[in-house]
Amino acid sequence: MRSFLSFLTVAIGVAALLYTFAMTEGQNQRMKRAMELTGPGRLVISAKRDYQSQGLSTGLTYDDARAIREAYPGLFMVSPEQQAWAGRFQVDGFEDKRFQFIGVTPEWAKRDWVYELRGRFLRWEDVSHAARVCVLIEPGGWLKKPAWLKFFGMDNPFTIWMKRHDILGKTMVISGETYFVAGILQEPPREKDPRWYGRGRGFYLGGRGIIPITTFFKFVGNRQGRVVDNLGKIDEISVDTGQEKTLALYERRLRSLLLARHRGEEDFEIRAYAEMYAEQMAEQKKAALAIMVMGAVCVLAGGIGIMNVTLATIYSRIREIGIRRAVGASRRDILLQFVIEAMLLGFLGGLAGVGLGVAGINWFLKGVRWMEIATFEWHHFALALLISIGTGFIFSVYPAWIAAKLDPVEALRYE
Amino acid sequence: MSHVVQCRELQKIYGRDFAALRGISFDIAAGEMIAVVGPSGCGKSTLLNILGLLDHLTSGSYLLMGEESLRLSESKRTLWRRRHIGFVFQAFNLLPRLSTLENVMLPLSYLGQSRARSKSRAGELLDMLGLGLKSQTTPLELSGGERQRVGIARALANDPDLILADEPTGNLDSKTGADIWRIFEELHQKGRTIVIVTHDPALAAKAGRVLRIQDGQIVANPNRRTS
Ligand SMILES: Nc1ncnc2c1ncn2[C@@H]1O[C@H](COP(=O)(O)OP(=O)(O)OP(=O)(O)O)[C@@H](O)[C@H]1O
Ligand SMILES: [Mg+2]
Repeated sequence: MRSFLSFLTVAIGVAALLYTFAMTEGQNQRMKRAMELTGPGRLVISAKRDYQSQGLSTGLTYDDARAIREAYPGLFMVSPEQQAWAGRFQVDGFEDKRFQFIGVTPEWAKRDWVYELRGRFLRWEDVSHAARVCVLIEPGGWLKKPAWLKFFGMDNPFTIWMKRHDILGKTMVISGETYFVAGILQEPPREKDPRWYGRGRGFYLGGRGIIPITTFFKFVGNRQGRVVDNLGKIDEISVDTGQEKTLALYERRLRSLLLARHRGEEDFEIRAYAEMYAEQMAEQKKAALAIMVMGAVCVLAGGIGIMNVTLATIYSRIREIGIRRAVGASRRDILLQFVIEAMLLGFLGGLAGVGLGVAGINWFLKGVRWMEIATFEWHHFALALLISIGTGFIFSVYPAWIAAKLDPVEALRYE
Repeated sequence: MSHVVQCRELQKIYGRDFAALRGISFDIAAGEMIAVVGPSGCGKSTLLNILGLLDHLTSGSYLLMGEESLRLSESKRTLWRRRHIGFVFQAFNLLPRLSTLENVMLPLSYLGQSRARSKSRAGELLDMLGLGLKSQTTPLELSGGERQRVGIARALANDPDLILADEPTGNLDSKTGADIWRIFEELHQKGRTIVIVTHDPALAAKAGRVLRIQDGQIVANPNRRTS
């Protein structure tokens, strides 16, 4: 019973450790993939959310983006973006309530391109004419849909409808305005979408389309589909310097440029993606560390359990020790016997822990197909087993040493 | 004449001043069978433990196979015990979680013999003692007499130069005890050197030589100083 308990604690500890190893490994990998996609030189300028304007600045605007572009033609990308929800939309007899507009320029295509395009993308003429053209985004869906999603009926009717109807080249009425569907961007399946590993933004699975930012200002306006102003306010500008070296330089340049344009009001933030990733990594590392500590504590508790078990076995087998000594066992033989027994117990605990860990992680994360996130490496298993065997060893040496030191005559007389 | 055991003025003092053995001297020649008798608490078991290198003597000299025991290191003592001594106990002292066969194999495993070889040797010994059919049972399923025969088989496993039996018949009825005694006599006839402690005067009388101990001293030893 006692040995079962210590076996269990070792198993749980090892499972926790294994989980941490796998998660850390997986996180590193997906971060790497996300960073590969965004590239080393990405910055994002965003409007500060709860900034109290002093009336000097008009906030972050499309004009800011254009000014940046003009001042620094060497930048690989300057891509402004503004999003808003629109109301009712109809296409080809289909009708639904909500549509998400994303107002951009053609430079948008330079960032995080994971799509397959049918038709055409936005052009600069579309922007200059504020043309009512739309490039629809078709959700990639899943290669293998997670079980938990099935319960939530996350399938948007429009997504389902889009799968069966080709609306490329057709017209679409959104919030009373008619748009020409110039292109369709097919997202990759969720499992293969590296963006998902990165900023972890929510993905809207319903109607969603890209329109020229000028069109956005003219017909969509800001928030909730109401045309609030035409000042050209935007949420963010994505900038790509193209390389890591120039990041700091451009960060300074853009800050001073924007400060000048905003008349000294710092109502914007400039952040490097690499920095954001690092922050995220640090946070995840903290979580991993917590689990690791838990695992270590469990292993330690298991070790103390093993010590307890070994001591108990020794007490119940004092006579056996005497007998063995009498028939020729040396102190070393006795020591080894108990240490090996404890190591075996640790090994079995570790084995169970590995099983528990793998099964647990599989079960727990089956929903999200996180196997891509939690990555198992064979050396994790080896390490986990080594730790558990080592625990058995370390915590049994002392009791086993006591056993080996027993006086054989006393031990034989022991009842 | 080769002596298996040579004792001179053996003393064993427990604690500060309790003398369990107070100056015992005797020799045992190879092939002898000696019965040790005496009242309870006179020091018989103490003597046997010292002869078997399980216990340390306080003063005097004890030569086992011509080797001074005082000069042996702890690990050497184990080695000598492993090679030269076979113990038989009053309480049998078999390991209940091992089979009969494995109990007999135990001394051989410490001698570093291969499993196959120790298995066949243990099997032979059990056959010899009439327990061939019981080799897979656990000691708990055996009668007292059978258990003691397993104990004897185990003591013989390492082909010892000296067999030390501490009241091997003490836990048995007189008939079974006599059977066990006969086994020792047979072993003696085959040339084994045996020291056997008993409380039964009738059995002791059958031994070639009797060592009578009282209060840690030899009171009657007809063959005293036979060297
Ligand atoms: N570890 C010990 N510490 C103190 N005294 C001991 C110890 N072992 C034995 N004695 C004492 O030494 C004396 C001899 O003990 P021993 O066991 O040799 O007697 P014995 O002749 O075998 O008796 P029995 O016939 O009852 O087995 C006894 O008085 C016993 O109390
Ligand atoms: Mg005794």
